[in-house]
Amino acid sequence: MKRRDFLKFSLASWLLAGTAAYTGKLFAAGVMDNDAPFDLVAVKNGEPGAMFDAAMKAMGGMGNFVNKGQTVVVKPNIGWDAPPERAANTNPALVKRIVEHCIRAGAKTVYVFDNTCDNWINCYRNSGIEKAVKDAGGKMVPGNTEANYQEVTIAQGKTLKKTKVHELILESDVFINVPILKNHSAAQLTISMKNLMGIIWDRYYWHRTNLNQCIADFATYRKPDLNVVDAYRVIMKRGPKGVSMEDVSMMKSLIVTKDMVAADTAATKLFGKEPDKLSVLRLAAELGVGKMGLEQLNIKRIAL
Amino acid sequence: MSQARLRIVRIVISLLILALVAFVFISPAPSAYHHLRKGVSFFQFVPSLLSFVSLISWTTIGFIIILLLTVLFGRAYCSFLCPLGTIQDVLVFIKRKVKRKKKYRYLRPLPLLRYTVLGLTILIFLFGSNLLVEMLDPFSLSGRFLSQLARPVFIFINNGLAQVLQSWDIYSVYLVSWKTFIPAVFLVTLGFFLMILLFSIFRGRDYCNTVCPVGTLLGLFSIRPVYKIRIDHGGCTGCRLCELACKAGCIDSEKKEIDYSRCIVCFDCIPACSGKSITFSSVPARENPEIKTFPSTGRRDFLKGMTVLGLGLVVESCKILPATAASSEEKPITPPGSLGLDHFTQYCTACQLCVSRCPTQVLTPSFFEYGWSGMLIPKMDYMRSFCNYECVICSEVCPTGAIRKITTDEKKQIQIGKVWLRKKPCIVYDQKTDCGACSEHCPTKAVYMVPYHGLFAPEVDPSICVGCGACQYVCPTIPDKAIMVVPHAIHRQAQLPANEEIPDEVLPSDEFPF
Repeated sequence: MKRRDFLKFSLASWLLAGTAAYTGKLFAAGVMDNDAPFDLVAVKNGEPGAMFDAAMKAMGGMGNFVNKGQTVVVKPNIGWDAPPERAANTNPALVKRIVEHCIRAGAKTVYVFDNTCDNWINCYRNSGIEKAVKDAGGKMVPGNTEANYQEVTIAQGKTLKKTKVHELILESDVFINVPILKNHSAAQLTISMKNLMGIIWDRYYWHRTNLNQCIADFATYRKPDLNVVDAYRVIMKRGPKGVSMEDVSMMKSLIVTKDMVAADTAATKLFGKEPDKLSVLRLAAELGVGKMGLEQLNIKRIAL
Repeated sequence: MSQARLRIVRIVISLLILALVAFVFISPAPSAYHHLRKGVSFFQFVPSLLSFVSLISWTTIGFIIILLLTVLFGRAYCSFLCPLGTIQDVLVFIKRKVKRKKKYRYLRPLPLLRYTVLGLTILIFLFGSNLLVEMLDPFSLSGRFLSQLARPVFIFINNGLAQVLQSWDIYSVYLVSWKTFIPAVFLVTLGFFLMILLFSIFRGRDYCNTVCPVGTLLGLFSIRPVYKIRIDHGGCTGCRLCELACKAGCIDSEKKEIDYSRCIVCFDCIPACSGKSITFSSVPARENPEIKTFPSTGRRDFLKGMTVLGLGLVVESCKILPATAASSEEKPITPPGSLGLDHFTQYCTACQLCVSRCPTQVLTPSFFEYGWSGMLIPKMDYMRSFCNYECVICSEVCPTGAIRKITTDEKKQIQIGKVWLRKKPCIVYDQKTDCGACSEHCPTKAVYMVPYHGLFAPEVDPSICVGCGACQYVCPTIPDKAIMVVPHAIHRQAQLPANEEIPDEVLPSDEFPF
């Protein structure tokens, strides 16, 4: 082998190895933490993208969740017409990084949508999420049309037996739930399970039919393959939309787990509230959605 | 340049203006292109005049320019700028493609009818109702045609395209809804459209010359324009081709005279003339002494009509014209910037531009909710949608100043109505389960939650309520809402939400609370 060819060959090998290692698929053992697998990873003191990178490294990489050629639906909170710094919507930098991870893991298409509360066009644009997703190579899909929602049966539902769910949730291979931790005037806090109210159509029915039970019931329907709780900026009061910047506090934290109840329990503690006081957590735990007892979980705590 | 080309120039300009107006009314992007609106409505007579009266600003002097142009060139407005005029031309063009050409002929003027309509329109306006301006103004009529009739067609095509593209996983074209469809308003608009259609097919521009108050008013300024269509009596062979081509019906080819109060300066007669004897020129110094100007009785008739009307109205006015804002409680909520019922109903001509442009579609055309004198004027309909706290698009697009231009900061201190909570039907108080949709959506937290038997229940602070209607729209109680916005006949000031203490920064630490 000539010297030049050798250099080319080794350069190519390095590039290939680097790429492969990054996806976490081929060289998973190399990037995984010794105590893995973890049930929950919590990260602190970093920027949204960096915290997600760290969390996914501990989780063994996105390749553990997304296989090549799969379709992924990412569901951030894009409910409100508010700029990113007001923290009414999931941090766009985080959403962008998640989409990038999915695409690097070989996802065929990464869809992002929310059934917004304010006008969806304003929400998508002013939250910064539309641009972030497009820049990362994902697809923003409108969530405002009833025709895209299909009725499903909630087999384990106590109160909620049927509801209309967006077809992307039904059709996509992987479902990543990306709530933002916020104070909520009605539910006290809104985290992973409350975020799923953005994938269903008839919220009126839920609201007038024992809201907390409906939220817990629906959490049994399709558990997300991954929950990423954004707690970078957090609305501490006057949520879930917030009125001004005075409602927002920097928490610079992130929680990643497959277990919605664990995610919400940990996030509640992060917020400084007692998980026992949130009835929706209790109801969901009773239905077997997940675990409230964090001590039973293998948790990785990372302070950047 | 041959004068025959004037007609082509007129056609090009008028189509361009109509295209712009149509674009402003029916383009898909709800928030873009407001600035285009200003250019479009600056040269629209009634919007410009009304915004001049309501705003008194040099940015609204388009109507003065139109009047000056009319004195110079005659009623060119009606052929070049008026969207309704061009709509009629287009209708006739299409009709002629389908059926053989119908020849026009000279129409006798109907001065009494014209001036009565104009006089009534002005007098009723002075007495505080916009009814006739609203019904007859060509810009507002065009606006209603575009928003009620053309826009649905656009939505139909758009949504079909969106569905096809979505099946290929392309989402750049999205489904558009038409929440503000009101059958009665649609039918009234359709009725007016059929009337205009019949007028234009059977009587050319007779709507413009006997009904349209703008046409009649401009006619008073164009009795002796500086530049005008002239028939060269020496060259005229009396072939009548000009009369047969004149859609305004203002050429009397027997007498070889033109009624300039009705001539809309469309230049159709110039190329029609067999002997090139029709020209558009300034009045020459030596005029053939045999040619008299058309015996115009316009001003005299107008004054006569006004006198008769004035006498009648002085006696009857208060009785026949009930104040629009008589009982405010029953009347709809008007958008922020419209000051209140009186201002809004005085200046709104129901062109539906705000309805077309409202991103949340909370602005909905009314039918009789404002009373008969305020038909079709938009209202805030909180059963269909709610007003976006950060949005002032309606105030930016309103062509007449009925909704005054306001900033987002100003809007946040305008209370167009205030919140009213009925605890009895409220889910939390009634069913003892959590809900809180109202407070969740409230942008100011005028609706806030308080502990209540282990739950959280809504309470209200109307002082910081802006009346956006989010609470009413999302309230899930059926059939009646437990929380509603009660309208203000005159808008009030909303207090800004209190500036609370900034929460403590969570200091960087390596500790996790779990």
